[in-house]
Amino acid sequence: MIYLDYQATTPLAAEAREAMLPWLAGPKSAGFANPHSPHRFGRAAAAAIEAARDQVAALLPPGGRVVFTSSATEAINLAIIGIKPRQLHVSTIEHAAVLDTAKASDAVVHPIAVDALGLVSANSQFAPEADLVAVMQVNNEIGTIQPVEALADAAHAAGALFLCDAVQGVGKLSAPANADMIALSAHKLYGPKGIGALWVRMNRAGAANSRRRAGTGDSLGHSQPCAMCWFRRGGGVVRGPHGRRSRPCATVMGPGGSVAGRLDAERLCRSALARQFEYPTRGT
Amino acid sequence: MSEPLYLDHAASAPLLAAAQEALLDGYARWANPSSPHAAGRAARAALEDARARVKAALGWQGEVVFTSGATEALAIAMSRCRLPLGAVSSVEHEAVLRLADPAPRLKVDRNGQVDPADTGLPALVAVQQVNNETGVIQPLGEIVTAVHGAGGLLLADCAQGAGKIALPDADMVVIAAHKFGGPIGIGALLLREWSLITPASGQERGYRPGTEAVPLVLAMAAALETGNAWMDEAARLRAILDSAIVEAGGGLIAADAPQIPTIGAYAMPGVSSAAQLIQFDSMGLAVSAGSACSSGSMKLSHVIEAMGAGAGGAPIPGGSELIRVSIGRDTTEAGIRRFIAAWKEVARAGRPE
Repeated sequence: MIYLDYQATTPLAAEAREAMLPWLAGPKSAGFANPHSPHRFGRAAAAAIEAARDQVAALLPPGGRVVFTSSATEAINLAIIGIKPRQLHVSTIEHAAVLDTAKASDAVVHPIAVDALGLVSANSQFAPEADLVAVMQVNNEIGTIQPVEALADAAHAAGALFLCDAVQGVGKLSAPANADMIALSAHKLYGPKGIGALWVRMNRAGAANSRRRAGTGDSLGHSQPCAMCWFRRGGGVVRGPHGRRSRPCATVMGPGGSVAGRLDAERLCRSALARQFEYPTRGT
Repeated sequence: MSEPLYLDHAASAPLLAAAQEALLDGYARWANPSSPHAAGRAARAALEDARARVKAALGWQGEVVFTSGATEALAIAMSRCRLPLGAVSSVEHEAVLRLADPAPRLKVDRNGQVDPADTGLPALVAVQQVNNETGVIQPLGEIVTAVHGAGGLLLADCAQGAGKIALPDADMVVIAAHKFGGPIGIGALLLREWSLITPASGQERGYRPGTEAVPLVLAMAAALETGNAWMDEAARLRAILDSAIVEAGGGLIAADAPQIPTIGAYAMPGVSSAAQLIQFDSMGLAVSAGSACSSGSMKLSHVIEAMGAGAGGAPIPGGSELIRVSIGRDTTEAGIRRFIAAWKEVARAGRPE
């Protein structure tokens, strides 16, 4: 059989498989502990996750933090439900993971039209009320590449954050340097199923020139857009009682980062998330 | 440094050989089960076969929604149940408690057990099967009768019991594969019927979106099929451990409640949990103080606190001097005896003159 459906999923790269094996082992190994455990087994698992986090971060713009999730769907849920936008702009050709989550959120959803080529205009402008703009990097059905950096600039000009579903682009194209959040999935880039990530900009450099409506009720509790604010507000994201990190799903990259294999499931934000919003995978 | 000995299976258990084999086999059959082509259909067939095997191994007659773990399964159950959340026990895992506000907490007695009479609510009630810190088994048979009698629904977090003891009669059950020798990153929400929760969108019949992690599901099924015959040996080892610790001056927490053989909590008079952990770790012994999820903090466990708040309100003796020992199928009598010797050594060194 000739497989020409790599958009749907990809096989596991040999590098990724090799990287997983030590963490998928039996009682004679050290590779099975809970990374929250304080003993040596747990510390080794936690260290492996942190090393993996750095490897994944290397594929993405500087100045952000990688939050491991079970999938891109979860990463997108986390981003959209976590930000709690009131005015959400999404392209009409987003993946269902974005469209369904948008519909399930409390936001007023504004569709961003595409032209006959399936492209969002790079000259798009967003109303100053916009909180969050979500446009995918590469469409999963027709492969069109959106002008995401221009759209991120436009979002920032309106005082909004920019979320990029980069599932089909990561590992193949450069990630949009000025996005505030980027969602990715391992199984689209030769990693295993069951692991994805949300990259979140930590510093505010990317939005330094942006403004935000003054006044109370700022959903991010901040005078400038900062995607990390809601994490902080949730408390305990970086250190705190979370759900478990999953290490058999520890991250691994192939040489040179060309094969981004194994991301792994760390549930590092789960508790904050779970409390902040009805975390897992809400849709229509 | 002596050879490491792992006695923290309640935090996470080693992957079983059968599960590893199934996982690697799954990675070789990697198509997306939602794809309509032959490879996709084969992945779908493997997924549905694994679902049937999970149900058979657990003796579950209802539905199964695969999730990324128990945390996610709990979140789905608690946020999308057709009834509002009425109460949760005060000794639930953090994964339940942080989703539970503002629902009331059900108090427990000094052995950590919920009174079934408190659970008759026309709402969703969450009570765990087995406590992850003390091994105490809740009287879920009586609780489900009380809950149903009031028109409510019972959610049972069975993360520590599934694959080891029989599942309780509950409306919704949550399991996590890595507690019974499956991989980390996969769990399930078991539903008596679909109508208990509202659908979301996407996969798993619209109840859980996201590409199904077929290899992880196959490994979970294989782990469950390995069975629980080893629990008899776990009970024997546990009895050796309990009597030796008590004889050496230690205390077994919740000694009067039924406990799963795999989890025991022991107090060492005069030696803090943190001091014990450091010493056991340096001796190559991996144990924990309470749950792994909260063990960076070293504050008094909410479970012990809830037990102490029972009748009289006196703190549980040794509540800040506990460590949890959890047994797995790879645990041997030699390992238990080594731990007992180490426990006595730490106790002797730590006891005030």
